[in-house]
Amino acid sequence: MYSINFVFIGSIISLGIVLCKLIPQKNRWIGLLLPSILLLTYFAGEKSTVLIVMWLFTYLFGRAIPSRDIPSWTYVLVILSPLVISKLTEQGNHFKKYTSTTLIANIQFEWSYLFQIIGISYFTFLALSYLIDIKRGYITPESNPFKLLLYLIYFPTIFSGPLHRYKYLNKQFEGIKITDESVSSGLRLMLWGLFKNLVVAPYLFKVLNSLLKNGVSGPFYIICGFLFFLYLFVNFSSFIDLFQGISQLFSIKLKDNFRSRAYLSHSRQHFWRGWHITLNEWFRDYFFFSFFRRNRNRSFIDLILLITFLMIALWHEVSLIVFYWGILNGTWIILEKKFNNKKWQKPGIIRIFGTLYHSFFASILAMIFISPSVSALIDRVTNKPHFPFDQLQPRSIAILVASFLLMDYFAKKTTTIKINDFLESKSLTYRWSYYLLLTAIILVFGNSGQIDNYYNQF
Amino acid sequence: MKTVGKLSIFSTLVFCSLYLVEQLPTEDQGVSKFKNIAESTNNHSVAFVGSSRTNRGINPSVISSLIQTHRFLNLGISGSTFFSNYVITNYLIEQTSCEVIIFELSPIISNSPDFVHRLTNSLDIDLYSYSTDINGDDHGSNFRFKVETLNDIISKKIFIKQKVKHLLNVKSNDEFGYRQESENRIKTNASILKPQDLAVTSSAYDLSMYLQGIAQLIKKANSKNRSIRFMLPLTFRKETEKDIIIPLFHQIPDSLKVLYDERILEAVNRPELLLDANHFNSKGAKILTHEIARLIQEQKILSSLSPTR
Repeated sequence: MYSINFVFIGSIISLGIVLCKLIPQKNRWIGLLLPSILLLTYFAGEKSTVLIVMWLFTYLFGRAIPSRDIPSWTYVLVILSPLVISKLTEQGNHFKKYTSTTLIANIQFEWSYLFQIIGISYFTFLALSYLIDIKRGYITPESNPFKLLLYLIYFPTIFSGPLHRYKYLNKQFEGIKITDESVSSGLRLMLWGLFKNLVVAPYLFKVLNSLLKNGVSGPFYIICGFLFFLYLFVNFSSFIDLFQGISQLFSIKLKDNFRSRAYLSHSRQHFWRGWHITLNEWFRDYFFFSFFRRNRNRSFIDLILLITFLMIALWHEVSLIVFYWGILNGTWIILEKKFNNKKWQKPGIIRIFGTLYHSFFASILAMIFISPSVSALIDRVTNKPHFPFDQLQPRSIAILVASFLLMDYFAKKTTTIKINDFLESKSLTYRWSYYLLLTAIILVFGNSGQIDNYYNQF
Repeated sequence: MKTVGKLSIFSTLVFCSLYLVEQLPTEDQGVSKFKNIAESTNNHSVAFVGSSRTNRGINPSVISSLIQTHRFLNLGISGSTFFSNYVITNYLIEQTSCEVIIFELSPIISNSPDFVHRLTNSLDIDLYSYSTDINGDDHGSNFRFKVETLNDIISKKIFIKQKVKHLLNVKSNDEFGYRQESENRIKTNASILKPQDLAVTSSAYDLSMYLQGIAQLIKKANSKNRSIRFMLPLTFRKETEKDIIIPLFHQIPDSLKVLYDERILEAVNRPELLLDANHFNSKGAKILTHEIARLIQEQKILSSLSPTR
């Protein structure tokens, strides 16, 4: 589990603020590059050399692409190889690994372990996006290699995105500034992220873990799927909120990665439009469309879509169960596209049915996703039905329900705008009540000095 | 600048509230009980230090009735890690008269449970200073370990969950000492240590930090004329834990270990003796305690009360 502790991330942010205050506007981006390098070195250690080599390749390819006729497959292969190797050599099930308590002991050096680096996925996606955008003529290559490095390892995005195109971030790196507005806005987002990450998500996980540990089985196993589906949303989106807030301190606005209340999606298509948005856009722009354009008579669209979902699945983990999970995800979307379900978009009773329909099947998929193997899944589901009521702590359930409802209350208020902008429009009393309430809840019910994200392991 | 002012007001409010909560009188019975037990030790006291595995596995009254020459204490702490066991053992060596310490090896090295933070606060022990004792071969890991420890200390002070629980009189489970439960929630013996598990000698992990901690403990025990023995847990929640603990155990000299024979591994290898994957129930604890008492006698652990070699 790659958790990020308060002391370290607090030091990194403070360093960034001090440097950005000291360095003149023109070179202020260096004030973010140094903390980004420190953070990478802290987590990746000597393995950050691999990323340094990849950065140099990205820079050189970028410079060479406009003047020389370099076939796309060459740089795609070079940049993609470490990630592919890391995925192929990775051992163990992601859910099992996540639930293991942190062992600080380092794994001794092994070649297969060389590419298991935190942030390698996002680094690779950004490097490919940069090179393909140059090839497509959308951007010109960056002449300063260190500016490119900042784009690739910018600390609020290195762990698990959101993913941005070079043009989007680089423009903002030119205008880094720390103002009253940026700090207020950033801190509001950070507080929101911390509340979700330290209170709502851990209680969801506590209940889920308690059910799993106490042998929940039969049809009741779907409850675990549902809890995990909610957990993943709260955990991942809170992490993004937090790092969006950190980035906002420097007046750098990161893209949204989740739609507020994505857990109430009324169809799979609706869900994917609001879930891990920037990753899905990346696969759409750089994978799906690459094949789509070649398929002139549009006869293989469904197949391309299926393969895209399969690729997304295998990026999570190369295993049979995740392969099935990807196939089912793709098939579900394809089937939905065949049936017109536009009625579900209109508010009302049909939409509620849509939400129930989506939650049910999403829970089944989540159930598959967290199972270590097909046989383990079959065992759980076919075992005698068991729901360990007596092992659930009423106190935990009460805190979970109350904190989730509070989260949902604010999420409902902020369906079209971010929480920081929503608060900006409120009175001073409202804002301060919000700050103090959330802080009190975090201090009383949160019990961890670690910020954690399930997706850091991918 | 407006923000600095607002932040100052906000921080003052939060810190004043935390300070006030901290000042509210609450009696920490667990910590007082632990201190009383530790302070009453003498040169016939044998303390088991470890995690909830020790906490649920060793019945001190059973072992005291089997070996009547000594007084046995179960100081197992729920959630205890290698580091917190290290700190507790140091305390026992330096500030009590406990003669023999049996140290359960825990695979998790960093962080400490809330109880250890409260105990060390009450005993004026600087937890962070102990983290500087444990330095492995990898500088990056050493640095991360210290940052983790510092973060753990700060966050335990900021988060007031336990304090609020105390204030509201919410009963929590005993955090240290023998805890018994007769239930059996698991039907498999997969998590119990088996003879073939002991064959693993090499680890994929860098064990240097653990070894450094063990070397420090041996040195301190020697200097204070105490005896320390290292013990393997008999249940493992994860396979990765075995990859760390068993090769680590093999690197410790036999004279400093409680060595398991086939008899103990066979005696405890029954699923009905388990509470859950990681702990024995009271039936299991009784059998395990009998077996540990036998090994202590057979291996003459109490008669070799000379400095640890």
